[in-house]
Amino acid sequence: MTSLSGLLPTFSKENGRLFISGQLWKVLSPSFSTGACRGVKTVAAEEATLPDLDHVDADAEDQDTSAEAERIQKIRDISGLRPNHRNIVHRVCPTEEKVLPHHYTTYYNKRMFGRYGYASGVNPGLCWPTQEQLAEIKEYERVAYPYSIMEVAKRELEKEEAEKERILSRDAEVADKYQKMLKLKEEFLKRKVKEKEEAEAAKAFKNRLIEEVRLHFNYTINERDERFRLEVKERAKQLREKEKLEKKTLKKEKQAVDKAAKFEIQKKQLLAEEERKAAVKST
Amino acid sequence: MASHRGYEKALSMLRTLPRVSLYNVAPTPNFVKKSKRGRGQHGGDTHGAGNKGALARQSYTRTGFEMGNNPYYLRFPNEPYYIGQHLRRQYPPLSLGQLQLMIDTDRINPKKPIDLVQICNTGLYKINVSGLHYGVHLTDDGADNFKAKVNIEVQWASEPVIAAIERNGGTITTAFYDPRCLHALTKAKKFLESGEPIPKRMIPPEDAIKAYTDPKFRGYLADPDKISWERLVLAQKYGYTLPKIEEDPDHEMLTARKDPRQIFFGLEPGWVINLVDRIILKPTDPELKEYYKG
Repeated sequence: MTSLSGLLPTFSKENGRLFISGQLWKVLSPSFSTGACRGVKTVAAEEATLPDLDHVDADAEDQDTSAEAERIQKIRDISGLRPNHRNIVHRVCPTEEKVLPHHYTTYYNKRMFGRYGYASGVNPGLCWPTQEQLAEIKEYERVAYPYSIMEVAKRELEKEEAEKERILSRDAEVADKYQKMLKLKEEFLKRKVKEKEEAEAAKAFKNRLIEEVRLHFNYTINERDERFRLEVKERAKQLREKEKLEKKTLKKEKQAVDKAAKFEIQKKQLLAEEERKAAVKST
Repeated sequence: MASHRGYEKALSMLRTLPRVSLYNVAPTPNFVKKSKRGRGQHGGDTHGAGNKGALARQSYTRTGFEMGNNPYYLRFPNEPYYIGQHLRRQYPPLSLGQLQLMIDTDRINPKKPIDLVQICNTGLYKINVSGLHYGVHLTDDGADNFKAKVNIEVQWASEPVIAAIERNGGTITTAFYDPRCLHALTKAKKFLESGEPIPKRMIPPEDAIKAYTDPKFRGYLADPDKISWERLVLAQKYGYTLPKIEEDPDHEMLTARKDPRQIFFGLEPGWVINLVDRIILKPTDPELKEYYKG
């Protein structure tokens, strides 16, 4: 097993090199060959024999330690990120030069200040709207929110009341119409009964007439016969005239009775007056 | 091997019995054996599907299909209840039980006023502002087990929810936020890092003003005197004695309210907060000051 594993190529992720049976093979990648991005640590790794710290000169110690720490840090950094991206990840203000157009926008600079504070070198005055922007914002708000809270509440209340008023008035109208409808219904029913009665009476009258005419002809003539019809007409006329006459006489009688009653009242009054006069004279 | 002891007998039986496997387990009580499709003389032939036609080919028409008629389910294309659905405000629910759980698991600190910021910062509640979500609707699930005393501000709440909170000596407010403020509240850190000044809260739309000025709904625009009266009325309706918040040691916390223009507790509109330098920057321009004030 050991011999086999020795033959197999092993890939060291840490420094981007291939080892085949102890020999160093370079991985052919553009970043490696240029050394611009990922090559940084590879170069460092090649000279990665750390110096023995015990034997460093005492004079240059302070200077060296920082440089040394930086160098070690460089080796340790295996993220493969570009310096600017590394800074963004570690929340350090990116020291990128302002080259792209968006680096000069207020939006970008505002965000730089928000994220990195004064270290970003942005004037925080940028954060607030300029006079023109403020005027625009105010204009927008004037159009979008034309009323104050109180006014909106009042308008809503008025709307609600108008709706309530509308419903109430409609209810009153319906109630009024319902009462009218009840009266009309009663009248209609009465009229219906009356009409029915009248129709029945007319039918009975006609039947009576026909029966009488039949008796008159001794059942020998068909109802549809001309003579029969004429007879019926004649009889109806006679009956009607008779009825009229009856009515007249009744009226006359009634009038006479009324007249008599009136006369009686007048007589009584006259008598009473005479009595009074007599009484006055006697006194 | 016979023994008068039951367990010995059982053990001896177990020794001789075969291992429990798929071959010797009995079916569960409600097990129904599925009938298999028979072949040939065992119910084969047409398998009960008849002879010729759609039924034999089992090419059934789709449900509701009326053989070329205008189908019933499409005949009346009128769904009036969806009119304006895409414009209606949504309030995703959060139950009282969930709120209690958040408090019990230290996701929310009940010793401080709770608002949308606290609820969203738990990471357990999300709202999609661009999806017309306008904040929390506190629902009454778990109201009986709600025991916390809180000062909470939500965007929608029903009467039993208000009762459940006030019964425990807490207070509740319903407040409206416009989408811009909601963006700031739901992702507070992201907003503060954007370097934008804190926006002022805009007034509610016309169809919401009635709710938010209603003392029964504990609206943030309602008269506080009327609210205290309604608290008493609600206590009598639900039959509990209203705890006196005036005598409460947390009185200050319980009565903390935001200004109708304010969106963060303790921070005013127009301020820029820098989290790195830990500073508050206030506008000095009188015009700006006036704008953020009113």
